[in-house]
Amino acid sequence: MKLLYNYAMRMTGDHLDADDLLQDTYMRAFRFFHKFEKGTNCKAWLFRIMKNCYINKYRKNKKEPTKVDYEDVQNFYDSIKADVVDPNDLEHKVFSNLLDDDLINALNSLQDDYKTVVILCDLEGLSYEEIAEFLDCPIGTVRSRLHRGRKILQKKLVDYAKSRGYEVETEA
Amino acid sequence: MGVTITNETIDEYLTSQIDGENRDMDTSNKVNEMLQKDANLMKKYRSEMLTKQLFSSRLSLLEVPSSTFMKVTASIDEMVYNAKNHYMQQIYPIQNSANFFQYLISVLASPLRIGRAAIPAYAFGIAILLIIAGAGILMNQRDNIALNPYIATGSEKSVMVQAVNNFHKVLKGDIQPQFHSSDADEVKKFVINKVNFEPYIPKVEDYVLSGAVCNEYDGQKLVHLVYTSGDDVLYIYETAVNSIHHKRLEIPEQVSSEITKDKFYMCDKVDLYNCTMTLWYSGNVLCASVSTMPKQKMYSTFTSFYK
Repeated sequence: MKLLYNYAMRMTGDHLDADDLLQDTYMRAFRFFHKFEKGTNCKAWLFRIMKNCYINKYRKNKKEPTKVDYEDVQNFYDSIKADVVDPNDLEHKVFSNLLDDDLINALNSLQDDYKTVVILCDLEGLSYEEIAEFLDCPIGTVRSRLHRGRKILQKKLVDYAKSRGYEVETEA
Repeated sequence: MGVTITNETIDEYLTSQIDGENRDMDTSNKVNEMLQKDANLMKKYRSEMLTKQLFSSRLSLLEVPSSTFMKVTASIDEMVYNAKNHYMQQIYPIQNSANFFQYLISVLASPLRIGRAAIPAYAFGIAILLIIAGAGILMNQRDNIALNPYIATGSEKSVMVQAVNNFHKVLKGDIQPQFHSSDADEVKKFVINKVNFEPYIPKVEDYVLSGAVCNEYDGQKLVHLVYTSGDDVLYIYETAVNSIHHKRLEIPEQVSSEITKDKFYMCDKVDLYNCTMTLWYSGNVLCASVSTMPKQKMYSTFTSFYK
């Protein structure tokens, strides 16, 4: 239940919505338990139910923040200026000063497909194989979405850092 | 045999390298070689690694609140109950009401045996009703505790109301510390980066600091500290004084003037369990503590750390 609750919390961003989504998922799973194929992964089955519930009910009502397109940040890593100072140390210092809210806002700016893999991999610690089973897609797709999702996240974090007055130099 | 890594695909292999998902040794070695040779690639690798670490360390997994767990299990129980009733009605429909009443009378009149004595079932029924009524009266007495009027009539923005509500969430385990430490300095280091005021982390005699949680209400940063001593819990809510000036949060005027006059305001009967609340200022910080301690004990504890 912990995995599902955390996924629901991060997707809906609201405690009450997460509660309702979790409740809907379990009710639906209970009602359609006869459709569960014995010997298959029950966790993945529950997760797919939750994902469908979320898409059908909650995503429609949710106020969505502006989504970032991958194409906009495709060359983002290349644009980070390699300065005399190690850029990673600089980023580390700047990012560690960001608020948890900045991280949550950055996560919420992702499209659902990217957000889901980031939550499952980086927050819930699932392997690519498990995520692929959860999402019923190839491992290559998981890897690709994860890469793109993290790239968008990093671009957002740099934007937040800049808006708070930190200097993160990027090439024009 | 390993895969062919090209300039187009290397970025995604970096991602799997970070996650330890390049299971094939050959692929993993190739990526490592490319990383050693190409400084730009190494830069990308470390940047992505940093992003992953940042999210996995800062957005930790939440425990399922007991209220959520109860809500889910209760809804399933209800579904089972309804399904069972529906099924029973289909299988055993009551044939006619006359039979039902005859059955009821016979059940009530049938003797229940306790040792050698035989007592009619309705006598047990009456005894149970009396017990339920007695319990109801006792419960009602507890509910009739006259709550502190500022809390009983306070709005959602009231610091006093928020402190009591959060305190109960702490007791139920719905609020868990984001940072666990008994060291006040360490907790201060954690908190200071997340709020826009100098937090006050007192060392409380006989109490051990459990940790801290930071969040926001209407854009106003809040700090929550939890201390424990055996079964007693002391919770402290902190926010910047200017949140009151900006009317994002509020405290009653009488309470505010009492704090100004006496340096603190203390009251009990803040909830049905008669917990105690204390409000005071520490520099530019408004603090509100709630505790399971009775008022007298809270007073001596408070005066021991508030100089």
